[in-house]
Amino acid sequence: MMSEIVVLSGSPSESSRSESVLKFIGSLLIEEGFSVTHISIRDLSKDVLFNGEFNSPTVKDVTKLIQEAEGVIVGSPVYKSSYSGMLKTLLDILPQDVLEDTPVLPLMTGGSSSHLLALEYALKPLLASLKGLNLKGVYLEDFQIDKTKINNPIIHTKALERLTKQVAYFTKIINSKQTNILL
Amino acid sequence: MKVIGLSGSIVGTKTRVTVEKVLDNITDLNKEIEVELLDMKDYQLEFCDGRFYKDYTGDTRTVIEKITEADALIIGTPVFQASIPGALKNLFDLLPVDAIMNKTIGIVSTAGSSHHHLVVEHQLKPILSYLKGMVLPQYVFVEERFFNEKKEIIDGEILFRLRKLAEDVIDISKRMGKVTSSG
Repeated sequence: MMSEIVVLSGSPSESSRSESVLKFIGSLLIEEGFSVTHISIRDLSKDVLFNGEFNSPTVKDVTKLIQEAEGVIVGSPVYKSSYSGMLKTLLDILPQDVLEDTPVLPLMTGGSSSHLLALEYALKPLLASLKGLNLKGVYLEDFQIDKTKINNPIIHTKALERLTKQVAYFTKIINSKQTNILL
Repeated sequence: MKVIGLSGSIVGTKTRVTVEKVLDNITDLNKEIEVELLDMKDYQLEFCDGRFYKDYTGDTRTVIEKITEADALIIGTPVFQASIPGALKNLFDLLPVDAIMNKTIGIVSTAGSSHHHLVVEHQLKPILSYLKGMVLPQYVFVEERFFNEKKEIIDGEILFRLRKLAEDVIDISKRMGKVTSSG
């Protein structure tokens, strides 16, 4: 089934701050009337990912979902100053133009503000290499998130403002793209 | 002193061949230095999920300990999606933060085209710097065309630079106090 927006969570952790934020963004988008599919890297077969089985049905399904999406949100915790290795094992086996013509909202969460540039230097170049059209993106610090608050895990007012603003840019681009197609 | 040659690819052979070449040169230059090839293809690692490193078992624990106990490292990486492979990044994710601190690190990289020369500079070195490794500024980038059909390196200039990398790793390790004066 096709979804307008695909949310890809790159966190290997069972209880993840970045994933709680991504799910929150997903709920905002659903409220606005978008269809959303949430893909968690944890739900994919570890063997498929680790062994790079690019021909597996799982990878083909994920590829199709991403290719058909109007917009994609990619999130990762900062691990060792970069995106998670587990997320990269999936992106390694997707076609190299999988995000072509697709607005992409990158999101990262990290333990301190020192890792803010991981978004610029690690995640965004990777998404650009997959031909995605990067938005500015959002970086959140761990203390700004309470992952137990499922309805809205962002407990920091300014961080929430930044995030909702970026989501608004994202939907504006998707809506204008859809309008252009209709015209 | 012990040098681990880490081949960071789970597919193909060029990265392993290049790492092995550096290790052979090290042995040739100084028989007292112990070398070991750690080919990621031979190990089935778990994905890092933020656990304490001692809570991992089997291959994962073995690889973490081999790297932690080494005095110097030769890290070989192929290029996947204009960055390092997810499997290699996952291994970095698994390492304790001080696992490679102050260890001399030489880098080799293999790729299909010259366009990927800067991947090491922009994607690999920042991670190794974050982990506080003493990374040699010069790395050896080996394009596919420098290999023959038997996957042997045939280019004289590349062979010279791999030899130089081996010399530099020994020399810098010596200055860091990891090689005895007799060695």
